Amino acid sequence: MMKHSEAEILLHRYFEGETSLDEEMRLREYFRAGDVRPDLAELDPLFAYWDEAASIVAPPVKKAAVRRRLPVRWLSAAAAAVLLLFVAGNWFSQQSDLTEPSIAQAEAETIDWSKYEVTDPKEAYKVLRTALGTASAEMNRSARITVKEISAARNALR
Amino acid sequence: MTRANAAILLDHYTHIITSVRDRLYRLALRVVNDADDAEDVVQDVLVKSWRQREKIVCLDNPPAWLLRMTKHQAIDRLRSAKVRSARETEAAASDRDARTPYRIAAANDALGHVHRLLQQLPPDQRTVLHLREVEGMEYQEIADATGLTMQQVKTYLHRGRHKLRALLLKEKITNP
Repeated sequence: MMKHSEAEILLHRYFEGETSLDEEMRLREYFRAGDVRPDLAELDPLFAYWDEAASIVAPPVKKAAVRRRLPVRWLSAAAAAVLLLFVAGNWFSQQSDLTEPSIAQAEAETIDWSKYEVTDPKEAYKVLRTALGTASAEMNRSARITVKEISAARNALR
Repeated sequence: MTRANAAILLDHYTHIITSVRDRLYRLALRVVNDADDAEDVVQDVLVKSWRQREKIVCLDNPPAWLLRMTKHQAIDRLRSAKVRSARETEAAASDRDARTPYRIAAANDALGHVHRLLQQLPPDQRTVLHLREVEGMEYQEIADATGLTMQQVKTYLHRGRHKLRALLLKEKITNP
């Protein structure tokens, strides 16, 4: 058992940083024993604290959470395939949208001319005159435009 | 590397880690002052050490290398804004904090006070004190584990002890 006077000397050297590990261990034991001189008791919590701190142990190793890595390559391939199917589907859909209605439209627009067939001879004559009149008027108009353009060209050349 | 050599390497590495893990944790705890953060620090160190296991098993003093790595890792963590902010809040808080690392010590008013006084010291001083007082390491071992010179180790230890005593006497803390 260390004497109080010896403890005092060791403490002095301890704070000067002159003690060995063995001497520091003996000081620790002195304070641990509990019979500390009253004027040294102020340092009791310090040595008690080092003992407590030394008793701490690391918590058990946590089992590492299994990080399941996503199969990025497979997912990319699957995503590409899905995208391709979607685009292709969309394209075919558009194509059929374009085709089917036009056929339907063509079918729908087939005109039943028989309904408009002129059976009355007077009516037929009237339609024919109108048609010929329209054609004649358009031909005369074209001729007038042509004559007018030729005259303008001649005037320009004079 | 043959399978037999790999097995020997693994055994050696496992033995080193098993023998030093508690010390790494206590050191990390001393620096970051938070149990969860300390655990994370040790985990990071172990992951990094695993990647360098072939190098580690060949070192003269693997524990010193691991302790130094832990110290750096812990200081880095401490410097991160998040942790710093949390520590500042903790420093301002009273004894109520249930997540204080030294729960047993904190449960005891006198030891809790010592803990808080110790946390006031700069990280290097605190680390040197810890390695000497708690881990019982020689000056040279501390120098190896911290990257400090022998003279720095002695100076930090001397200053740290004086500062702690001064604070203790100032606050008149007594063990119940």
